[in-house]
Amino acid sequence: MTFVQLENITLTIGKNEILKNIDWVVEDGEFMVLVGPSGCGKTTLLKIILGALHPDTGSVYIDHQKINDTPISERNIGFVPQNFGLFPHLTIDENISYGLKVQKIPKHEIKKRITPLIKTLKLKNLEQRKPNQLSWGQQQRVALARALAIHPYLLLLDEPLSSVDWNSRRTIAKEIQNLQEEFKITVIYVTHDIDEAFDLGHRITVMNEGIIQQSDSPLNLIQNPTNTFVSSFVRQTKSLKRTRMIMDLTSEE
Amino acid sequence: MKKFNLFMLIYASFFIAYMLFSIIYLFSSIQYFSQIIEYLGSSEIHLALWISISSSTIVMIISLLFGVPTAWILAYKDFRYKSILETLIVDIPHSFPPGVVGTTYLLMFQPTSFIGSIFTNLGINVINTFWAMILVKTFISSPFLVSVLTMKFRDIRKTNLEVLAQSLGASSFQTFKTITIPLSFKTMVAGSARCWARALGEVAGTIVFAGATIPGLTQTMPALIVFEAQESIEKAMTLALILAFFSIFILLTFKLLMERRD
Repeated sequence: MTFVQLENITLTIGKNEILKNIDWVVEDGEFMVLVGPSGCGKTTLLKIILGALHPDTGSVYIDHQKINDTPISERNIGFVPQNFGLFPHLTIDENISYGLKVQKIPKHEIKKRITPLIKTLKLKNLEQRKPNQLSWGQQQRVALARALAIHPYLLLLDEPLSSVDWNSRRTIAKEIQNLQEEFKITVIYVTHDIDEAFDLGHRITVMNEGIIQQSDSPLNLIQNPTNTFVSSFVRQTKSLKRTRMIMDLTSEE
Repeated sequence: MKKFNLFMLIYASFFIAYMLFSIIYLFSSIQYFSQIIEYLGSSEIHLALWISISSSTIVMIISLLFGVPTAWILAYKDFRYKSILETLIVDIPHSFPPGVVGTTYLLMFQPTSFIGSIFTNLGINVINTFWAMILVKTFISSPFLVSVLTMKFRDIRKTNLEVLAQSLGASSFQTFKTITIPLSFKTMVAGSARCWARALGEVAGTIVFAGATIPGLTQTMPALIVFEAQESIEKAMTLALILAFFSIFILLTFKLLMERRD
């Protein structure tokens, strides 16, 4: 079932056409990875869905409702930016419960909602600390907990693993995937790393120069790339298994 | 690296020595200290101090009340000719000679001018009043608060923390209250202190537009110092010391307020 739908989205900033006629669909409960080289418009597209930017033309639908004019505060979309964006003056507990407090949810209800999150995301005993007292990985988990606490319809993750070392990447990526399954939430995950996309995505959307090149299952992207950009982008994989698969397909041709 | 440090240290030392020497020289006028106690009992000084401090505090409150929204608009809203507007309302008042500001207001509010005639018809006289002083001091001092606060708001805007707060459900007002104000609080206090201090020291504009001769109404300490300097340099220096003590005490209070916040 279609959950997020973008229709003919364009955006020009100054003289630069950042997004060109984007039509895109993300299904309900899907883990969609949006992948492409730096500066291709991925984050801009995410910000349009979030409501932080407004497109020049086109429509954004969530659950069949057009939300172009819905203010960002009423969209109920969880967002984890690249630098996590934790509020530096608030404690971890205050950061996680921020969204619930501003929505004037009663204290006991807030506690009920954030206690399991703190447990799941292994943040116990860190509640009274400030963000700068946490490790990078812990900060990321706080950002995830804060985004999930509002029970969002949709979770947007903007390169959350870009500054995490290779060893921790797999573990955290797995954690995110488990959370998605546990909370049964639709996720759009932005990255420039094709292997991260292959590891996580139910489907992968490849983007370049403000245009969606292909939106497909990981296997189909390897087997049936729609153009030379997708085919060469997919070949950037560092995974031996996938490299072999691509080589086998090329030799068959 | 060592050479660079030495270079910075030498230049900084010149500046620090220059500033400290000037301040120490003021306080070294120790022969006037005995007179401080005597003058502190004078009702003329009490009134001048009261007018100086109360008018500067009112100017600071007005600047906060109107300056915070102005800085917010300048930092968060993108519109045409914004940089020209900012130059006009923030940068130019910094460089305006206060005497010229006083003269401008004097011409603006004289009964024959357009604005002056409106006030005259309403039976309100602004020239040579306490409020004339407030008008001049606000024009001269408020840009000190608005400029630093605009810069701070711009830095906060770049972090996108407010966008995040709104994505979590916060309204614009809640975002301002829970994110923008706490993150800019120290700058707000520091800017208010600079605004207050500038208003306290203002004299030329006040003399021109507010007269600054009526005790308990328009006569401020700096004006009294200027007038006394023509009669007795000892009295002027003593008054300057009294003003300096009060100003240091209040500015230190501002600093403590900022440190407690940490």
